[in-house]
Amino acid sequence: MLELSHVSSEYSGKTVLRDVSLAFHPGRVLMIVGPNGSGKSTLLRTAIHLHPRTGGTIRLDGSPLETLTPRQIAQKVAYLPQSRNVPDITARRMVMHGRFPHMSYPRRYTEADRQIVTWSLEQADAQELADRSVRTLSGGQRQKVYLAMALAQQTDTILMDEPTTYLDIAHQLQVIALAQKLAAQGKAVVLVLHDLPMALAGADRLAVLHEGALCALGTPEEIYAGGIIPKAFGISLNRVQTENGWQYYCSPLKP
Amino acid sequence: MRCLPRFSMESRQRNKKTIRISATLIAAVLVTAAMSVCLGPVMISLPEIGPVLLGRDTDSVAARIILFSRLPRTCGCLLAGAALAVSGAVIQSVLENPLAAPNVIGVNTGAGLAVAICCAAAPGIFWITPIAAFVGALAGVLLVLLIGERTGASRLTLVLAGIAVSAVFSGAVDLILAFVPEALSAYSDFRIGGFSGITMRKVAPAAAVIGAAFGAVLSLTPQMDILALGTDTARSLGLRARPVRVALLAAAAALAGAAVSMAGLLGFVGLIVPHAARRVSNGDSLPLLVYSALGGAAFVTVCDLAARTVFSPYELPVGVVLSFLGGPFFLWLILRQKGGHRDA
Repeated sequence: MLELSHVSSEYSGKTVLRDVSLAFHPGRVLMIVGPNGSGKSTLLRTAIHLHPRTGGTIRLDGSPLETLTPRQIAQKVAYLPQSRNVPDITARRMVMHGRFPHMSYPRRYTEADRQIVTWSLEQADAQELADRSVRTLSGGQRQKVYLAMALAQQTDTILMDEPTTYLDIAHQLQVIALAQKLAAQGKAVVLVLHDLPMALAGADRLAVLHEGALCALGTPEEIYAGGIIPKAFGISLNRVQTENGWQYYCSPLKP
Repeated sequence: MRCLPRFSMESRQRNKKTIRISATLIAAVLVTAAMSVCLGPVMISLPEIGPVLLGRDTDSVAARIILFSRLPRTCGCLLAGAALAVSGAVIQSVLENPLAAPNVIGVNTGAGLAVAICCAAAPGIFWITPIAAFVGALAGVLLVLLIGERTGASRLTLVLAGIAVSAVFSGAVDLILAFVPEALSAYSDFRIGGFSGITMRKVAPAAAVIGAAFGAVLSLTPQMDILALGTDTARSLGLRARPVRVALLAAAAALAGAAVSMAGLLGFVGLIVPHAARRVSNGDSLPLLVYSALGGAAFVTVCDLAARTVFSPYELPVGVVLSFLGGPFFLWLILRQKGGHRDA
């Protein structure tokens, strides 16, 4: 399990994260929400040492993060970054790169690696794209391939930064369903999302960041009841009871 | 399991394509190498080459021409072409910049400054030129890497640092040539580049460096593939991106430095050949490097052959032929990118 304790971080002397304590529990979908610039992406990057922290401690399965090699971290935590390169290789080849942390010299793929890649492509609904060049795919299709690559890492924890960007609504819901399915398999799944209603509907727990600080953490029900989202975002948040449970919607604050 | 047959089929098709292209390029290298040895003011037939290479004929006129002129020259062309092309392919991949080449990271200007200093300070000591070129090329790149490293070694920082260092070095060369005009002639030969008068004593040390650096680059191809996914993704996959990037650039500098030490400043090889190789490779680094090495070797050998035979008995510097081919290609590349047809 990845645990952050009193973590702070900055960019060029400007504090971006302040005193954040958060644990990514197995079997749960944690959604991180917050206004632009609230430190959501930095939180994920700092959590796996892609961005240096200026204070606090981070432990992965009990070990301080700084005592682990990048490869050891990558074997336990997969990360889907917000901005990605688009190399001129097939989608299958790209997903195979997800096996990199598990390969030792001379880095040859085994039959087990290939089966994991096939499973990952199927899970991300990208099997039809497997033999196409990533450069010829649409933004949404590329997103699926990157998602499959993260799945191919076969880690206990998966961090996804804006995984629904470029996806139409049906595929956005598929990503949320996949996150819940992975959590049901015992993985800790963490998503940074901009879509508040979707985050509230799909999360087991929600973390609300505001100006670099964790201002609320709890179940969607608790977060709604706490009234923190309207304050953090400057919006009005409401909900209606449906046969699928509570559905949330946002509207501008009335003057 | 359903997709396993497709896996092996795709893999087989890719392997077949790789073998076909490699075989074509190996054939091109062999043909151009044979032509380079055979063609010239004195024509040598193919059957004459075998006994010379096997050491059975060392005294005939043909044997002397082959051993002391054509063979060193051909080896020099093959090695320099392969080394510059691989160096360019590595630099373009690592810096994710299709217009990058050895000169962008300070190789050419570093070598040029060292040679200009030698031409001015030790005129007439010709054996020192290749050593100076190699040391200067490496020093130029190390300086660029050091500056990049201190500022975080981002790809853009390295390119900008390379341009800045190159500008300073070029200014220093001009200053030296302004104060010591006698050095201009010797420096000019180096700047244009060429294989005239090359000997095995010059080729052998460069070959050792090129072999070692090429081996190092080949051993890092899986890391190169991961690096192509972007720094954040590469690091999240467990790759130590910065040391790998620095190691690859250092190997690329050694390749280019060794090539420059025996052939002078050959322009455009490191730009043209990797681009052509990229078009037929499948996006992976290994075929790209192999195609670049073979293509670069054949291309420089052909250019050298053209340089010394087209206006025979006069000989053009090979750098001129390369520039006449490279310049238009470079323009085409820029215009094509501007048209936005496809990412290069």
